[in-house]
Amino acid sequence: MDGYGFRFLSISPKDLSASKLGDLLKHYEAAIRSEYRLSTGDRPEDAGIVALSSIEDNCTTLRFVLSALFVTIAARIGVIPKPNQSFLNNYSPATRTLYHDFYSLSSHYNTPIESFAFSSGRPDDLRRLSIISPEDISRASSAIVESKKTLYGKVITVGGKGPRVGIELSESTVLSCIASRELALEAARYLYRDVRVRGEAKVVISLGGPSIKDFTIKEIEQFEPLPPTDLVDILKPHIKDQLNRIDNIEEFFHNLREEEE
Amino acid sequence: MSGRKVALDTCVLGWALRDKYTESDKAKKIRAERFFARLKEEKATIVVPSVVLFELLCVYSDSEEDTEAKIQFLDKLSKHCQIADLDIIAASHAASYFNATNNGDCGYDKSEREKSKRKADTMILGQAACNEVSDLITNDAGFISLAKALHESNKCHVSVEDIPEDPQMEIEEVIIE
Repeated sequence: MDGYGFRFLSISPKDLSASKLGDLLKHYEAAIRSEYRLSTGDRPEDAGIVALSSIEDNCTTLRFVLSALFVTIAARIGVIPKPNQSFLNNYSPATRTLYHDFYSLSSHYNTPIESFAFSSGRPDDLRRLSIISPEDISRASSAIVESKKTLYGKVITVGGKGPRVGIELSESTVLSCIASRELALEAARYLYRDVRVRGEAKVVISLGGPSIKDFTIKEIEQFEPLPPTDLVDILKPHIKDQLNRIDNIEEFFHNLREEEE
Repeated sequence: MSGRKVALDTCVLGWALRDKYTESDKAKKIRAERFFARLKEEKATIVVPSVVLFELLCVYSDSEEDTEAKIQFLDKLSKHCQIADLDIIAASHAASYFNATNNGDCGYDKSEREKSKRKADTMILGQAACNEVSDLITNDAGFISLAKALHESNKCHVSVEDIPEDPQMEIEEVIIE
């Protein structure tokens, strides 16, 4: 049985978080299954297995064994393309997500990543399929697009040599925004309060999907979200008559999404 | 805004915001109201995607009375509720989701739902996804099925569900029976 694997050539094992490793394993299986579905039109369901056969060298070498039906797909996916190669669009989104994982890991940990094949009878005889380096990643094509955007969140930090305002968008996401001195001082009045911020976002469009690179605040105001029942109470007087006129609101709203005959 | 963010589909808002209902609609109306009360207890924040807002605003006519009501509604809504725009990030997410349902890449059979509905579904999902929404509530079974395929194939983190059953309501219904 053929197997495939990946090696991080210059990484300190303790640096690699369990969640990043977990995502990589999950995305590898998703990529194999999605490419199989694209190439055959069949859903592999549970018929084929993508199994992690070993984690070696303190987590820096991963080996997989796969069911026979996936071997051709695995050989193709195992050749990691350079990030600026245009044929990346020929892969499924799941495979592009996997490659984005590799590019992120290579760039973040400054490590080349090698992919290889091996046969189960001779596991030490590795055939290199591809290698990508952090230099390859730095040459990757991406575009920065400017876009007006509104953010909702909580001001959690204000200050710095160049004025910055930290906005907590969710429990796990904080965005450090650029602001003028005046707007930073205004933001300080809202420290630990909910705000609505309008501004200009620089959005990076690359393989792994869009993300905000920079956000410059143009306007900041306090935002007072109401609890759901209070929101209903305050809105109802201004829309209930219009809604009450409709006999079947489910049908009314569903029809708005219907195509014309 | 420390609690989870929950986006609502148009029908759910419609049920919560209207007074009139028939005897057969009563259960849905009560279910929507109790769900809103539970969201309040959880300190959840409501997010209204602009596609949902568009559909909701379709209930107003061009009459003077309706126009005044619409202005008041939008004024209150924008002051106290988060509106999710279809900006460049949301559009990019939505396009990716739509393509995944169109080419079967997420394991979804596109014949299950017509294109115009999938377009609205994925635009709403795109708006929810880029606004840190964890859950989207709809009573549309077709939307739930599409979103489940995207969620299970790791393409969209937003979990889409029907209005959750209220255990207290079930007990009351049993007592009535």
